[in-house]
Amino acid sequence: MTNSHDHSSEDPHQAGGATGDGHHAVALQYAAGLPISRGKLCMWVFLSTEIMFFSALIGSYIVLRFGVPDGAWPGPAQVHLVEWIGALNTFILLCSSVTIVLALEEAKAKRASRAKAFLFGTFLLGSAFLGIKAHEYNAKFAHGIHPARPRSRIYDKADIYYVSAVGSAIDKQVSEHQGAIDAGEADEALVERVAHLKQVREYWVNWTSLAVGRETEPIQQRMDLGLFAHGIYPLHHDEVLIDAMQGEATELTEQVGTLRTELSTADQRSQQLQIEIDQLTAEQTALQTKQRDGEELSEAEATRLTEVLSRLNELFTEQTPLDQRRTELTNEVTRLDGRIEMLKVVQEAEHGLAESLHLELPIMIPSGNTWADTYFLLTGFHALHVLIGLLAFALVLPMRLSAASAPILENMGLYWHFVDLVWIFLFPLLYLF
Amino acid sequence: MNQEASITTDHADEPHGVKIGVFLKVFAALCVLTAISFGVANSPLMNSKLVGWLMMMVVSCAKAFLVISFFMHLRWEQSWKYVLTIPTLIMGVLLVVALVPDIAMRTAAYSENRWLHATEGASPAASSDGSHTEAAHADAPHAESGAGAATTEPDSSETNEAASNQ
Repeated sequence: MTNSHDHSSEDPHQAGGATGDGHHAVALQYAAGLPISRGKLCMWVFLSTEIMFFSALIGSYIVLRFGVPDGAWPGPAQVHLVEWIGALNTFILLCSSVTIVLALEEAKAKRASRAKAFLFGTFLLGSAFLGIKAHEYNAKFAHGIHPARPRSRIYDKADIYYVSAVGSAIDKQVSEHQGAIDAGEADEALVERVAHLKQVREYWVNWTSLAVGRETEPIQQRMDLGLFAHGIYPLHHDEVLIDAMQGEATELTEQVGTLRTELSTADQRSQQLQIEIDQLTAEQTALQTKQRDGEELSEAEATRLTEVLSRLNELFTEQTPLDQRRTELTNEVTRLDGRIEMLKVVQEAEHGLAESLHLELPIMIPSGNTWADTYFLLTGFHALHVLIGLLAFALVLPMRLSAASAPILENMGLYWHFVDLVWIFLFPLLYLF
Repeated sequence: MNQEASITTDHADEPHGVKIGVFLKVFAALCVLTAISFGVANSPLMNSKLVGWLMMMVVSCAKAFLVISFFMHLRWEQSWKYVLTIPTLIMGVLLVVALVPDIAMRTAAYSENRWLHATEGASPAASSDGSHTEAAHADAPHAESGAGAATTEPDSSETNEAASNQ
């Protein structure tokens, strides 16, 4: 340990012990276990614990990331992660590492003002990193991606719970705005939004829950639910689902055509019936008026009245179910038309109903919650470290950075490089994997 | 030896200017390495994810090595550096390695039946064509006819099929 004497300047006990007092057989001498200053030793021990802290976090992330079903981890675009912004932040942190190391070199060379300039540069770069990070967080919050409920709008699976969650989210929003709309205080955009919400409720949510409830084939149920989730928040361009939507629209249009033909036949028949009923009723009234006035009906007239009455009876018997059927058909046509219109809206909403129409609906991202948890936890802890580093810089900046303050700069530098080191691993793991 | 200097700069063997040059070179290398991992992520290498991931991790380790040895001065430190870094590294790596077979690989032996109830794949439609559909269809009568006793049976019978699908 050649360096143990270096600590003499720091240790007052040693000054007398080593030289005078010859009758003390053993000159006790204090020396740190490692041949470095205590501050630096503390910093390194602290950094060792930090390494273990972050490797636990990163390890948990890796374990969660690679344990999900194949292809179920959200891609950057699906969670509004922009790769180049992450790369820019990496570059910023690398630059700040260089500036802090240069600040230390300048301080050692006793150029205080240049050291301060480099330290200030580091401070600015660190702030820029945090600013960009805040912007990134904000972009995620804007799309309903939060680390946890109740603010997070992510659902992991397209199942009936997801469908009903979308339904109640719509109901909640509609009831919030309904008062303003009824009072005529709402602007046009809000009125349109609520109209969209109601449309989605009826022809996307209710339609799907009915269809899934009636369907017995699990694969078809999954397909319906997948289509439902895709319409609200498409994860990627999915030809199969687009074809399915197109197919459904064509099929429904055909059905509507058949129903319309049936309806118009029924309408014609109903008109005929009505005309006949009107004629017969007139005849009946004439005959009965005559009868009531005390005139004796001729035999022919009496027979005619009986005929008319029985014919009217027949006609009414036919008319009642026909009218019912017409109501049914009209309702069914309205329902199918609504669904066809809805399918059109979904196909036109390129980024899904939630995004394109700004409806703030629950969204389905497979493993989305695990993603959000790990992303915000890892980047959050890293950002916290950056923030602490910035506070330390802010405290040191007003000082005169001569050679005497080099140890402080060195220790802060070690900490700052470690923060950079963590980001070196976080960037590829979170943005590029 | 100047005592004051030796505490703060044990590694002062190299003159001021030379060191700054070294730092700038390291910085350039770090930028290039970042560009490489960014490039790998957007290149056909990611077709085989494992290759892409491995390359990115190797690049990250190289970057970490550069930062630790030059910016954190460990290159110029004496052998005390091993006392602190090596046990830490072992504990950090061991922790991750210990977790992997338990949790990270938990889905490796999932049966087809279990996959149907696991978190969705990225594309719900993708699982409804090809072999997946057949397997699921084969499942349905099983579960219906077998009632209670058969509920666990498809699980074991499908294991091989599920393994071959992956």
